[in-house]
Amino acid sequence: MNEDTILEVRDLRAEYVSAGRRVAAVRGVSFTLRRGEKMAIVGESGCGKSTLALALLGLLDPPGCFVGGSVRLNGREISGLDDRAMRRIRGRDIAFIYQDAMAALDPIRSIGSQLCDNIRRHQPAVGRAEARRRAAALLAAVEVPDAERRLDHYPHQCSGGMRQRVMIAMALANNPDVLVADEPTTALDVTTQAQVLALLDRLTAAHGFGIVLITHDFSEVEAFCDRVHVMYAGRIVEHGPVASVLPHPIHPYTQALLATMPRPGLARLPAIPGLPPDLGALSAGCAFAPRCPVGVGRAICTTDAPPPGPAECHFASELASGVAAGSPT
Amino acid sequence: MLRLVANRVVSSVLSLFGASLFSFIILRLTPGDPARLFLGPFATEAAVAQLRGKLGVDDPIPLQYLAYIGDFLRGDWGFSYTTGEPVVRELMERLPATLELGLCAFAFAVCGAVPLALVAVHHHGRAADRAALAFSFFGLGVPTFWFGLMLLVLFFERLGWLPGPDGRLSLNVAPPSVTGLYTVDALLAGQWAKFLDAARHLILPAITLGMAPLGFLTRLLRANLLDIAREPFILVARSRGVSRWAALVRHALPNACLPALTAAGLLFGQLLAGSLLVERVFNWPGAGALVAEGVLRQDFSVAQAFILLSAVMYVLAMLVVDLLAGLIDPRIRHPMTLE
Amino acid sequence: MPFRVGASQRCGRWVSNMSPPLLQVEGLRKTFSAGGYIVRAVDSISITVARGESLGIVGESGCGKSTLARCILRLIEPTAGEVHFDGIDILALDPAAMRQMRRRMQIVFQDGSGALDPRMSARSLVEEPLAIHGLGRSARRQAAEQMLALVGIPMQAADDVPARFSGGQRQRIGIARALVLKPDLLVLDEPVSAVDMSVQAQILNLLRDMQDRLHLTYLLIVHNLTVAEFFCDRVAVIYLGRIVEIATSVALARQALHPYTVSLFSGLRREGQERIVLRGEVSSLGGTPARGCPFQPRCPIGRHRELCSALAPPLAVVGSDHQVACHFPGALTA
Repeated sequence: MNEDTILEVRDLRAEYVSAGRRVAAVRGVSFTLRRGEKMAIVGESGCGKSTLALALLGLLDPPGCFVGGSVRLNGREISGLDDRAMRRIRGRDIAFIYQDAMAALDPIRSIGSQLCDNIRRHQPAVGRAEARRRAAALLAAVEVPDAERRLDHYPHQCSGGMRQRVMIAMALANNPDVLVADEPTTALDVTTQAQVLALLDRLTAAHGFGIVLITHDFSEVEAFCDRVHVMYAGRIVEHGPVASVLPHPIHPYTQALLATMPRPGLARLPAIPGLPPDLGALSAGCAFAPRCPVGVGRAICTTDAPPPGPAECHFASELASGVAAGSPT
Repeated sequence: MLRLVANRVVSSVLSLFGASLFSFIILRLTPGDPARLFLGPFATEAAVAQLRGKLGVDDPIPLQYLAYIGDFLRGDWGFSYTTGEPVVRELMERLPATLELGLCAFAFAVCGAVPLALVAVHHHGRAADRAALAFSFFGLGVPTFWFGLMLLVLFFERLGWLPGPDGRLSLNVAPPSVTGLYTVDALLAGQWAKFLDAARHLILPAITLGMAPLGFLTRLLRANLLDIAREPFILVARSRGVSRWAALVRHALPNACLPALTAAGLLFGQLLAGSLLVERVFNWPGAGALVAEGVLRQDFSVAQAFILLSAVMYVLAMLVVDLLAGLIDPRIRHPMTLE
Repeated sequence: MPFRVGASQRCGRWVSNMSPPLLQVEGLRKTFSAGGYIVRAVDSISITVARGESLGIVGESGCGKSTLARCILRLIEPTAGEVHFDGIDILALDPAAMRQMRRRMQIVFQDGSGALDPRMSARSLVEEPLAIHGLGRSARRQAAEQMLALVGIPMQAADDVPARFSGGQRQRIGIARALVLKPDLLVLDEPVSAVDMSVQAQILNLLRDMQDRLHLTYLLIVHNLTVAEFFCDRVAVIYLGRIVEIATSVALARQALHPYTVSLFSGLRREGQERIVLRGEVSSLGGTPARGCPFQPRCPIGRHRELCSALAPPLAVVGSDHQVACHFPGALTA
């Protein structure tokens, strides 16, 4: 293991149990995150990406439950830790940003008090005045104008972009190594989205933490991330550097998903037929098989699970060489 | 903030005005000739007519209303038909007892509901939750007087730990009257033994009276907490290392109290107005008994005075609730402002 | 070449500009005043929509595009201006005549779950407009079933409540409900903002099919310029209640001229090109300046220019079917 690796996830599995029915939401996810790296987990609703985020932080409450796998943060195994030990890690070594900043902040406490609270929780030696000073510095670092005065404002008095910056400030209060961002810009305007991503870019470069960006927006991935992991039905079906996966996707799902992005000049968009699978009733074989243009009529796709690799498909090598030969995707 | 307070005070005054109007109309609509009722069936026509003139029953309605309000504000609440005493004196003698009992019952309900609801939500779906729910159902459903009697049987008769149904004090000399609340007065006068005595007398009646509000508030708080615990900011707080319990107490509870505040205000008004049964069981010399008697005997003035008094109590309770809400919730204090 | 005169092409469909426009909006204004603040949500907007055309209205939150749509449909009363639908001045109609007119102009909202009564079945939701306009029971049933089939809701699901459908399906039900009266104009308020990418593609395809089949005219309101560019014939970009650029999507894709439009495109992508990130945010509460260009405080070009802070640029023609409201159009290139 590289000493540059800050997060290493192997075969993470999580499921939901309700009324005796088990639904596997995360079915063996593995990835590695290095210092200063920005990786994306892309998928549509129901693919398990939010469950994955909660499982990483140990925040999966019943009916969700962590089933197995390993999560190593800076070489230390954190997946089996009890809640008390996890509490020391959450907010200090690994931080979380939620998509809707208005809902993520306590509406009846001032921004300053929430920030100071966060600072003093993990650094109890810091006194009240010092915490306030640091809080103002944090707000300034996330480019909130007039930071000192902002400390006494309440969340509802700020705009959407401002609230998102406050959330980023709170996440970075204790210099974490990993930042897990669950759809951080979904609720924002296009121009604000650009601002927030540019800010995260600068902060990663300055502080060297790694970001796990969970999103469903490929344009964000293209503009911002170094590596991309495409998730479908609880598994990572394709992963690799953004510069190679996005222009030349190998896995049929990645190809189909990228093809649905609107481009001028087309009469119709190629849509993916059918609906995402019912995770409680998955059969053997590839989860994408029922909707896959490549797998139609091929028995192996429905009987055997595809082999792991950068693209999890029985025909990965053929598709890859087809891509390398320059055939149209 | 100042604007908020002024705003609320003005609307309280308007509410009081509306309540007084309403009670006036209701009372004037009740059948029966007040003068005849006062003088009894054997009085002469002339005497009745004279009293009617004095009571102003035949004056135009607006004038009667003004007289009604004027009298109330001056403290002239009429005379009780049954005892012949001025109502204001009788009510004021007995009101502090009801007030003290109501305040203690309310404190019991609130101090019990908060931890119960918190524990229930923290162990949601498990035994503790079910137990808390069962207990609140019990509180809501148990007949007050029966419960009071049972408490007396257990703690007074069998165990002898607490005093029996002999009013507010065992030793019949009250502490020097400042507020009329014996516990407070005793403390102010430094009479420690009297304070303990008064407090011990308060325990069982307060618990009895407070059981139903306790059940209600527990259920309400529990429901609010469950809703709020599902909100993202609780998850985000936990993602910063806050424990589940701390997130409940420090983040969920203040938010959950806001909607419960109004209910609590209404409950307090109810406690003051409806303590009759408990007062009977414990021989508590409160206003409840007085009013009940008055209503049963068609004692006009007493009923009238009490209606208006209850209205004042309710409005004051709601004013306090509004101001507290403004204190807790910054969204009320600072409506959206410009960047 | 005959098709160049008075017509525009979008992938094989001809849209005729020769016949009178279906929708003509002149100088539309809507002002809200609350607690001393005056918000000019729609600040003198004029647009024309030809029969069979799709016009996209693009802008961010607070720019007034939803208010504009509602004013055009007279769901909100405009403060000033005129709206002519098929030659008829709809702002002058009495309530009864307006109700009749509503059959011809319908709206689909963004959030399928918010716009659909959670207790009504899909079938009854689609039947409701027909019932309001007096259609008999069996005719209603038939029309509703046809429409549900057309939008791709299976028959066995017709009696389910909205909660049992996915987000994309709820959007389809909303579309079916709007189209069941066979309107001429369909306004779509952010129809694909709340759904996944693949569902977005499905919905956009469905809308295209419906337009061809039912000869509809669309007013599409979105905050995503790429979607508008893909789907619409012409696109109008709105900032703080004013149109800053309006052009055919082809022209816009080739070269956007207003700095705001350029930043909408380039904020996120285009490899090999510089990212243009704006500062500040839209402060819509009373934010329209008294003089000067509304975009000036955030404009990379106009921030320090006298002309931009002194004079509000009028919407000027800069090419065939391309208008911009800017003193320095084209100065910012992505």
